[in-house]
Amino acid sequence: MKKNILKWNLIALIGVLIGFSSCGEEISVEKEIEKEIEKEIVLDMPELDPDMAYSVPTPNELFAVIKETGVSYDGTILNLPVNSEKYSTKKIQALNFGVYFADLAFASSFEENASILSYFAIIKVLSDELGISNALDAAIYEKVEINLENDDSDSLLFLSNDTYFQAYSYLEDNERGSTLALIVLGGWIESLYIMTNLGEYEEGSNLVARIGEQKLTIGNLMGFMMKYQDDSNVAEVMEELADIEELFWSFEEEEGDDVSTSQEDDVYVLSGGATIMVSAEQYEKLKELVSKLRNEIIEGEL
Amino acid sequence: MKRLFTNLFLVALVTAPGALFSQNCRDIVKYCSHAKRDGFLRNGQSLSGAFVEGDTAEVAIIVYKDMEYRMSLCSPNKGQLDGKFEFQVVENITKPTWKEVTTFEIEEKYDEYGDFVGEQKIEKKSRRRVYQKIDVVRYDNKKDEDAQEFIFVSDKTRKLTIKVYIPSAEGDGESQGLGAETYACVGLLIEHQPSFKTGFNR
Repeated sequence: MKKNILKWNLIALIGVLIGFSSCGEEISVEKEIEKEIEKEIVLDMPELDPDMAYSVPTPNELFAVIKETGVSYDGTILNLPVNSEKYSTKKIQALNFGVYFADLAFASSFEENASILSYFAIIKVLSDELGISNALDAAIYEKVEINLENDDSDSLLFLSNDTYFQAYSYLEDNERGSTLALIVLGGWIESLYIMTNLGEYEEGSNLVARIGEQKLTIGNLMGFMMKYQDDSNVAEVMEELADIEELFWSFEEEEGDDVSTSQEDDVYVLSGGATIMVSAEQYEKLKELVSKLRNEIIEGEL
Repeated sequence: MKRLFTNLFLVALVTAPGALFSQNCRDIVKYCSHAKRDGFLRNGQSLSGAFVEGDTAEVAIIVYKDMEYRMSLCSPNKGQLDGKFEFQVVENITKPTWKEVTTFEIEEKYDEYGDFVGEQKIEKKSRRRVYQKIDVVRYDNKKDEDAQEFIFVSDKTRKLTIKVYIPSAEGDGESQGLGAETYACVGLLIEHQPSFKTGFNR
């Protein structure tokens, strides 16, 4: 945020200096300054509260939502299991653990049984490398095989969800929050990569809307990672996210109906509020930035 | 040297119980009563933590459109707290409002002969459209007969803040209150399922 303010202040200052040197252009320069100040407000990111606990939705939950947008499964965009041989440092292993978990969540949500087994297998390999294999259910692989034989996709979804919680709890228990932060980030970037590669930009489409809503998630992701930014690996990847975060904050929000809460039987309904808008240009830029970061992660170059 | 060890021992003595309790509370949420049989799946945004009475915890979560959520609280190691939790669900929204802006202009005054006689400050009021960030309470369990679960759907994906108040666990007669030295492990269980599920599956 400081970087943005400095940048816009500098632009505003240059604008003021030009204004002093050229009286004839005074009005247009004033308009320019006004425009820049407006931009500063639009890009102003919300302050994160250090006392707040920030939660990030798992890829499982996200893909359950994505599935309902009507998109089709595409296994060719996922990270190849064979790439795991490239991951030699703990940082890149943790990031790719998150990547493969997102791939598993995508395959599980779309009931792509052929891919599920190979992603479970690679998660097991990486959990050994990261020293978290004790946390995972020793019989998980056998359970997956049994459920695949029985074509029980609901149970597979539960297993993939459970695997995530087992790894998550173990890392928290053992005060390895920085590893957890890298896993969460890897999972989010891969999810975003998958989403942006499932279809072309179409104004008002459900998929584009879901991608735009990730503006809310990146705020929570940054808040979550902030707790662990004393770790240099976490700080480095947070910096890599800066351009993506800045782009998300340029997504405009369109005014909607007044917010209201109603009740239907025992279920409350939260309605109203603003809608996040994404332009074709922003979509393409996001796709480019996410692909770049994701490819650096899966190539082990980060 | 001996003094240093004594000091270290005292520091360890003071900090250890907190650390221990905090450690033991990890993933306590898995012991909360869940609604798996209704089709709900444990949500990754559920949290566990160690608290003393009177603590307030705030958690920022994301809820998706087309999902149904169930939110509940439990304290497996302090059963006397169950049923007493107070919580609010708050959304920070941007609300457009009109802001009145007062500006002053200096006008030079001249007499009937055109001679300058002084300046006059003229007040001008104008209205500007501005956006304000405000917190809107979407749900308050105190206004819902202290309900301990909140089931909801949302027509949009939104960021919500859950504010949880950890009550006193005093019982009848003999006090069973949580002293400052006694921690309660509290789990905030969030579950989800697609909201478009209808019919016999629900």
